[in-house]
Amino acid sequence: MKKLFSILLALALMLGVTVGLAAEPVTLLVWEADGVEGDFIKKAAELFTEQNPHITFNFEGVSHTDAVQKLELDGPTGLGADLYAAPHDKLGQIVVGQLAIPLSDTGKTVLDEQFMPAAQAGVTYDGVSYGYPTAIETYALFYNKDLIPEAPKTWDEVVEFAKAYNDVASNKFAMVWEVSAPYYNYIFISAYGADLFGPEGTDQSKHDINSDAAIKGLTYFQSLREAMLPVRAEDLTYNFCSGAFSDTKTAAMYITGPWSIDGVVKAGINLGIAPIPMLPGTEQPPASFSGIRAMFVSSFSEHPEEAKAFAEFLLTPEMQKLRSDMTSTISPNVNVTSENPYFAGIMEQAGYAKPMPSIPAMDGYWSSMGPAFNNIWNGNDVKTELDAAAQVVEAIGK
Amino acid sequence: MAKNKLQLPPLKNKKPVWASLGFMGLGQLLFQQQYVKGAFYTLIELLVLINSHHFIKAITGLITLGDPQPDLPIRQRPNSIFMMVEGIIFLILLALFILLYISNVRDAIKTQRNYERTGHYPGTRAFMSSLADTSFAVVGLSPAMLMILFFVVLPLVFSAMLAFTNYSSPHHIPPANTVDWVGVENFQTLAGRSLWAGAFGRTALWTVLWATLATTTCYVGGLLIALALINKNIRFPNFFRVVYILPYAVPAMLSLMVWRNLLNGQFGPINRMLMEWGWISQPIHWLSDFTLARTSMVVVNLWLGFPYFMMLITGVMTSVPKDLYEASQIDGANPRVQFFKITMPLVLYQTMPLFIMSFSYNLNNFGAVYFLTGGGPTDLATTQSGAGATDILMSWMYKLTLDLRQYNIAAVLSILVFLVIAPFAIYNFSRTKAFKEGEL
Repeated sequence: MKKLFSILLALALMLGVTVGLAAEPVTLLVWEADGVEGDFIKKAAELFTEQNPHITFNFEGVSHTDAVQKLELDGPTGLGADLYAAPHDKLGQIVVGQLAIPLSDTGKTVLDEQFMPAAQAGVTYDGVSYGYPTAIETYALFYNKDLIPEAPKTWDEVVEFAKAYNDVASNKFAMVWEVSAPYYNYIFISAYGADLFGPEGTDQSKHDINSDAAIKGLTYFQSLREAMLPVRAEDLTYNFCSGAFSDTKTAAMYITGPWSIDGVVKAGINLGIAPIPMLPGTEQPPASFSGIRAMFVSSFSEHPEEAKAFAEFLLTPEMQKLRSDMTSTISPNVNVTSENPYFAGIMEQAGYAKPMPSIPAMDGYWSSMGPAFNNIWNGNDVKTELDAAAQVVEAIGK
Repeated sequence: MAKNKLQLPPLKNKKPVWASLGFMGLGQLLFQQQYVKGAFYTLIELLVLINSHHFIKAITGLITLGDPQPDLPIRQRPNSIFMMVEGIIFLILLALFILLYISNVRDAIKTQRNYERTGHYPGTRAFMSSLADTSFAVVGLSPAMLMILFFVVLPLVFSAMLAFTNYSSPHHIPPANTVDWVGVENFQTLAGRSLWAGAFGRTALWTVLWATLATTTCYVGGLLIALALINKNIRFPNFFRVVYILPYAVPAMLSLMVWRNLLNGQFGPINRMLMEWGWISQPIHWLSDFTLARTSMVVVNLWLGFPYFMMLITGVMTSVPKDLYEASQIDGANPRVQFFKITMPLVLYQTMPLFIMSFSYNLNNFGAVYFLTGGGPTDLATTQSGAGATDILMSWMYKLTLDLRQYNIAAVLSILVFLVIAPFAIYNFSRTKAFKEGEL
């Protein structure tokens, strides 16, 4: 009798446990940017719920660049997401603030076996991987094949082309780009060998911002205004750069990234994409910043296991392919091939790219180099500006 | 105090007062037969005593702001910022409690004095009616006071306190790390970093200049248009009113962004048009020259802001009694005199508070800077500090908090802004006739 009773009890317990596991509904909140990225995540969530009916999703449109800061404030109050998208350069902030849970062993194996080294490096900090890469991107030279059939290999060729092509009075310029954006203009710092925050991108003291190499690159940058783009930095806004390339079709070349492909093609541009031109005296295209976009599992999550399962689901080749197709971005999963004809040029530039450093001192780079590029373009002394920017970067965290 | 003692005889029986001083409401309950009141006081004291460990914990938390505990998982670590808010809430509660305690002792004295004069204690009914009667102001206002305490005073005190902490990226962002009190270090930093001090001076000066110019131009612009439209010789005044109100009806953010494109030096339609007409040969640097960018900002703001004052002043002018004008005409006043002696004083009298409100608003008019110029143009000081030529303190603070996450320095700036604005606003408000005569 006693035995029977205990067997019954055990059965009841087991039943209770399994029923509990299967039935306990879990709702995960996901932060991803509105638009195609959000559409993808909603679609992926749908597919995941089909396989795991007890896990459902809520979606909130949060730009991936804002998510980390939002989580710092919302996480402790319980309003934060379980999963959020963030660029890899926020990793420093994520690690210092302990805002993400590291990958489990299964996730780590997938990352090591199937993903590009740059993507692995981008989501790894001091040997621990925190992010689930969903896309890799870098900027490159976009050119209008109707205006310039062959992409120039060097800046000298660009300047040469500009001499014949430019017509300032009617706003015709060979090439446009946002000259005060620290993101794009990193190419002029890196061109002659300045390596922002060292080879790993983690050494605050080796910022190289006012190194001789950077000064040389930026002096060349400054000379370009006179040579090919006599417009003040304040006027070269995103609106007018993209407008000149896509809408009025007056600019033959434009430095931008894969996120622009859709719009440019829809505008009817005969688009070609090539690596960034080489600076005089250099042997290869300058290093651009590459960005790895990744999903992170919040350390504030009430359901970390379910969230991890979904994040690992996003790493599968099927989902990576779906994302690449839906968002026109490049998947960092080596098993995914894209039919997109424009990705080749960006991939080539990605070979020279450096993952954006993710240490907190980058805050100083972003805030001081914007005005510095702006001022240098407008004619200020290169060394003075770079010294000032270096001072700001050095002061971070001191 | 000495005078009071002379007039009033000392209490014969001080027991109830001592009892109330020892424990709130005790005197009223035990000696003075004030059961409702006494029970209320006692209940409050009991509540506070029962929760005293919360008070102690919260206030200790406010003082220490938590010890770093890197071994704990992140969710369980002390969050200095929450501790700070909690500490302030409990400080406010404590202050309320102390006020109540004082009122309790004073009540015991008053009741006792009354008893010694009249020989009996007021009954419950008398207390209730006195509550409705003399304490009506206190009772009626207390919900509003509580709202103000928790929704105005609390955030203000909190942000002011941040100025004395090291709440900043990268090493002092909760919950991973704790925040500590650092005294006036942030003020010294701001003053000591000569680069920042320079940027601060420039930005503060421009903030005041901007607010003055922005408000006056809008006011005068609105006044002129209102005057023109009220003139009988203007046909279809309502049509023009509708046209002129349009800038105010479109969201300012959108129109500012459109203006930003219109004023673009190289590609903007305004320069293009002027060059087509042959009026200029070189582009005008509307947004990339220091003085011009500031001027553009004021002009665009005038376009945005005059409709408000136009409508306001039109409303005021239509309510000026017509017989005033007729009487003055009989006395031989010409339209000029009528304007300066009748219209202007009446309009100014009624709109001055709104003018001052608008001035304070413009001191913090973040949108006008952020969406039109983004703070630019820049110079070396911008590289060093982030503050551009058209940045006002508010937009600079925004950059400091969002780009560099220096919440402590931003808090110092907000205190400084407050110190600049507050006396000015109070002085102006208190001198405004509409406010003076609004007093009962």
